[in-house]
This record gives sequence, structure tokens and C-alpha cells, in this order.
Amino acid sequence: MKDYKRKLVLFKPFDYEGIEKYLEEMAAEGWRVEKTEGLWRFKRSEPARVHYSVVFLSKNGQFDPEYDQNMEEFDDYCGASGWTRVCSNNRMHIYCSEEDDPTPIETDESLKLKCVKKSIVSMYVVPMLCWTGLICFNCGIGDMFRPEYLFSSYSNMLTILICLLVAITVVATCLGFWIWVKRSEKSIESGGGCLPTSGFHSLYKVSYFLAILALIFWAVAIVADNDGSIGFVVIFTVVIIALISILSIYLMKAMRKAGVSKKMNKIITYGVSTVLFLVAFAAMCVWLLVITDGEDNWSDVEKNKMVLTSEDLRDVGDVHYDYTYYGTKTFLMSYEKGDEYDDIDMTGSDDSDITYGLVYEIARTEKDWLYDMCLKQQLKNTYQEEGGWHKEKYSGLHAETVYQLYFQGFPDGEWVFCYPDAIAHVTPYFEVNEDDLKKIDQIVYDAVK
Amino acid sequence: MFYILLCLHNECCGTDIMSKVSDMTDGRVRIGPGTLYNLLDQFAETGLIIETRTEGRKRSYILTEKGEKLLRDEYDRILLQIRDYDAAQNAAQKEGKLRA
Repeated sequence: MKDYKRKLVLFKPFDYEGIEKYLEEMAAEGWRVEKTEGLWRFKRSEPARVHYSVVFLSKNGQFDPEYDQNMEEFDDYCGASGWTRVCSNNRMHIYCSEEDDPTPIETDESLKLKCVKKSIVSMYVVPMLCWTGLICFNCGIGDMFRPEYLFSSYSNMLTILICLLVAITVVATCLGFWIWVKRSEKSIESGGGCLPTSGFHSLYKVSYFLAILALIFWAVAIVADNDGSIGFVVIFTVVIIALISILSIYLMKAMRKAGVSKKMNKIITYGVSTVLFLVAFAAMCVWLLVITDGEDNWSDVEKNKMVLTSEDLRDVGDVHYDYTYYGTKTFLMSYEKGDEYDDIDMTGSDDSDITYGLVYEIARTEKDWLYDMCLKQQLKNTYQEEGGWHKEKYSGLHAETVYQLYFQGFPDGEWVFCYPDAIAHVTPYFEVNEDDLKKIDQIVYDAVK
Repeated sequence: MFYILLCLHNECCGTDIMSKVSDMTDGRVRIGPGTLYNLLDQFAETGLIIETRTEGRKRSYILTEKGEKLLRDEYDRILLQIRDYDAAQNAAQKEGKLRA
């Protein structure tokens, strides 16, 4: 028979009543809580009627020494009333009492509300809203919301789904907390106490389980979407971030136990995690370089996947080109992007060398709504009033419509070809004529038909 | 709040306050340790009490002049309430006799 068990316990951060009730039920079943960080740890004991009290102390933060004078003094006060501290997590402290009718730790509802409010705001509301905002911002700047990126990749779809689930849960919890505080304040003003903290508990649990499930699918999808190598880099990044975070938490806790001052604990924890992140980032860059450039035939492998290169239009001579190719597919659409660029500029070669190169994107979908979204995205005008896309009239093309970008009234050398169920965006880095356009159209048409 | 300040007429620490209040009121008034801890902190911040000494992890406090005044005001307020209550009761009794 096991003497210990670990459980994933999910409660809204301010649901102290729910936690107290849960711990009392567990004690009645013969399991006493010992640790509430990460997976909660319970120790087997004789089933007993135990009272639990969850206390939020706004004074004692996560960097404060575990046994500082304030905490010890507070423990003494609680001890005098028959309460013993079982464990702590950040500003949340759990006390238990086996007395029949112990004096509650908080006997003033207004003070209790004030402490809960202050603690939850600093340990949950502010950090969680910052993280959520940062993740959403990151998705935004990573062009994750572009329809052709989003709907052509299972990993991108799952990333957005996870972000949405987490964002909804965080915002709903913060909103729920705010409503609870306001209603409790009113209740206390009229002579009552804090309102019950439970409610929507199952919904809260389900949203977190869904996020975890989506996370697992995401890991699988990211490997499948990216031919393995890059996918593993992304997963490696996530694992490294998780490991460094866990390590920082352990370091911070070890220093708390050792009685290191709050200021010193903060400096060392943040300092060490920053250095570790930088080292991991450097290692990742090196790894990426090895993956993308280290192999001699990497560029050739990429070249073979390209639908269109400047060689199809011109005699490129001896100029060396590099190729990068990205392609993904889901049940909704497929998307590929090829980039061909010469490395003459990088090596500082003579400007008079004639070089070619191009970049193209092809989005394929049978869904009309998605086709419209992709076309709208491709025809996005970055020049504002100074330019825009114009429909061109070319004869003998397979494309139903061809758009060209203009800047200050002059053609800018960017084309969008519209086929039934496919859109191609082509940007050659050299001047092309109508014959070239026909060739491009034929090649793309052959690829998408 | 009233009972905590009342105990601090004489120097004492938090745990003493809890037992003093309980003795003083025959267990009728119970102050939770969390509430006491936060209130002592608040009182010290607002200058109603002052920390006198620290012995190990025990901190002792005593009322300041400001605290004495507040306690006296509170006492007067309660006395006024009692006076008002008595007056209202007497008036009600007189009215009852007249009706009878």
C-alpha cells in the first residue's frame, strides 16, 4: 500500500473554500495534504475530522525567506488558537486543526477580503494577464493569424486553440474574481460576510484539461507539420523553457529555505534564469545553423521542393543560390512558400553581377470563405495611399485574374495569380516581361491544377 | 478592534492579547489569529500602537496617545449608545403604562 499519493488539483486561485472543503474530505478518507506546489502530495493517515483553513498573507511573497520573523510570529498566533501550518505555496498558506470548534483564523470578513484581494492580484491576476498578453502578442507578430499560416498547419491551429483556451480561462477567472470581490464588498457593507468562492469549478477544470490535451496534440502536430527537424527544435525550445522555469523555482525555494533575503533571492533567481535562457538561445541558434546550413545538400534538398525558381525563366549562370522552402497541409488547405536568394550581397561581391532569385507563395483551398480570406491577405496593401493592387489584363493565361502591385503609379514587380481553388503570389527579384509571366503562369498552373 | 486596543493599555504580545480577550469576555469574543496579526500591523502603521520590544519571535506592543484617544472615543460612543438605548427603553415603558 502506498503511503503517499500525488494529485493534480485544480481550483480557481481564490477558491479557498473549495480547497478547504476538498482537504477536509481527503483527511476524512485518510489522506493529509503535505505539499501544494505542482502536483499536490498527500500522506496516508488515519481517517479523521480535520479542519483546514487557507490563509492569504499579502506580506509574505514567493521570494521572502520561508521562516522569517513575520511568518514565525504568524505561526505562533495560529498555534495559540490550535492551528498548525501544513504547507505554503507563494502567498497561500494552509493550516489545519483537529480541535472540535477552533477559532477561525480570520474573524473579520473585511480584513480577510482585503488580504485575499491583495494576494490574488499580485500572485495571479497581474502575472497571468501579462503572460497571456505576451503570448497573444507573440502569436500576432509571428503572423500566426494570417489565414494561410493558420489554416494550413495543424500545429498553428492548435497553438491558437491553446492560447485561446488559456486566455479565456485567465480572463474569465480574473473577471470572476473581480465580480466576487465587488459582491463580497457589498455584502460586508450590509453586515454579511464574503460570498462563497465556489462555482464554475467543473468548467475551470475542463478548460485546463482541454488545454493540456491540446498541448499534447500540438507536440505531435508540430513534428508532423515540419518534416521533423524544425518541429523538434520548437519542442526542444518549449522543453528548455519549462526546464529552466522549474529550475528557477527550485533555486528560489532553496534560497527561501536557506533564509536568503528577498532582494538577494530575486537578484539570483532572475539572474540565473536570464543567463540560462541566453545559453539555451545560443545553443538553439547553433543547432538551427547546423540543421539548415551544416548539411551540404540542405539547400539542394530545398531546391527540389520548389515549384518555381529563376532558372525556369532565365539562364542564371554560375551564381550560387540558396533556397528555403516551407510547405504545410491540412484538411482545409495547403500552403507553400519558396524563397530563392543569391549569396552575392552577403559575400560583398561586385554590384555589377547580374543576379536573380524570387519568392513565391501558393495557397490552395476548396473552401470559398478561406479562398476569400487568403486573397484578401495576399492583396494587403502595405504602401497605404502611395500604392495598391491593380487588376491586369493579360491574354493567354490560365489564371482567371492577375493583380500587380503598384507604388507611386509604377509597377512594383509583385504579382498575384488567381486560379480556381488556388492563389499564387510571386515576387521575382528581377524585371520580368509578359513572356516570363506566361511561363510563371504555366508552371504554377501545372502545379495547382 | 476595541478589545485589542483595550488589552494594549498594558504592554503585551499577540498571543497574550488572544488569551486576555477570551478571559475578559468569558470566551464570548474570539479573535482569529489572522485578524489579530493584520490588525496589529494596521494599528502600528497608523500609530495607534507602538512596538516596545522583541523577544525571540515575540513582539510586544503598547497603546500610543493616539490609540488611547481613539479607545476613549470608542468608549464614549458606546456610552452614548447605552444612554440612547436606556432613554428609548424608558420612553417605551412610560408609553406602555399610559396605555394600560
